[in-house]
Amino acid sequence: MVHRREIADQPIWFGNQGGLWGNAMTWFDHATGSVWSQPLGLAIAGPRRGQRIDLLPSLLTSWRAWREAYPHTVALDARGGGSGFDLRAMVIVVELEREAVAYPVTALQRVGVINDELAGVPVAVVADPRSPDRWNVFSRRTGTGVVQFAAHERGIRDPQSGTVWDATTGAVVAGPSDAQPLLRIPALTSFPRDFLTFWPGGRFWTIAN
Amino acid sequence: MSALPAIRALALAAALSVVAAAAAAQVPVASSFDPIRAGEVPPGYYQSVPRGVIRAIYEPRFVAADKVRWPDAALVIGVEYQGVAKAHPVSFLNFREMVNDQIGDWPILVSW
Repeated sequence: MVHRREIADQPIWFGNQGGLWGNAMTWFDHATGSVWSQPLGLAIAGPRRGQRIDLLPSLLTSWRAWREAYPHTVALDARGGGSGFDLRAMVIVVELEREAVAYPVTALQRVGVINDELAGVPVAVVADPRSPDRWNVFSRRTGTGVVQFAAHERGIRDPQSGTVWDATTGAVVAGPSDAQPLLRIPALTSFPRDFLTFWPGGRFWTIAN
Repeated sequence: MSALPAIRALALAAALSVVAAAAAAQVPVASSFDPIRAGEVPPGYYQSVPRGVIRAIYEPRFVAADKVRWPDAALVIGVEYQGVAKAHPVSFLNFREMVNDQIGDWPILVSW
């Protein structure tokens, strides 16, 4: 739907409140933080509670039908707008043998590589250099033993052997001819609150670890 | 004689930077106040994900229709006003959910 985001001739800037009211979307306005109901265009909490903005006519239709009706139309450039999801609020969850650890994305972004162990398995959580808010989890167990990875411009590096692995694929980038690629470990992202719902005994990794 | 183009270029650059600064300054910083966290919770409200995690669009860019390669059947939300027509693809709105936009002299919010 489309609303006119204006009050008293002043534009209102809206962000996504992330909540549901009546199972429908809510917004918040930048100026006051008030929470709004999308279907009603009505502020439901905060300083602007009770105020409304108008619904405007719009069409939900096929691209072809719209272009035929309005040949001069412009189209939203979907490549712009940056990353859509603020991952900084999330944790990376690794679960092995019912033991679960949550690695805060913000912590990973600060250190680049996290060397840890859970359920007796040595793991590394690695920031993906190709995507600013992406990450990969690998086993730290290689053919030659357990590695304590350090960040490296070409990926992650074992200071002992000098081997470097690609931080996206785990492939060997440099090192002895018998160096093996890294084993990828499954992981997912979650919100801290939800992590504790699914894994009540889970622990949060902190930089002090 | 050769100073004139340089001066014009400087003036243009200055004008553009003013426009850019004005445009960039248009979006006010989000208030840190959240009535929900302050305890003002409308009955039936449920906080699904933290505020702002799904990032709304604030400065959408539009291109001519022949510059995008959308399937004919792709769903769009179309708005038309004061001779301007704009199409927002639903596939993208599924992901970003909200676009603070403008059509003619009206600021609008497109949401899905």
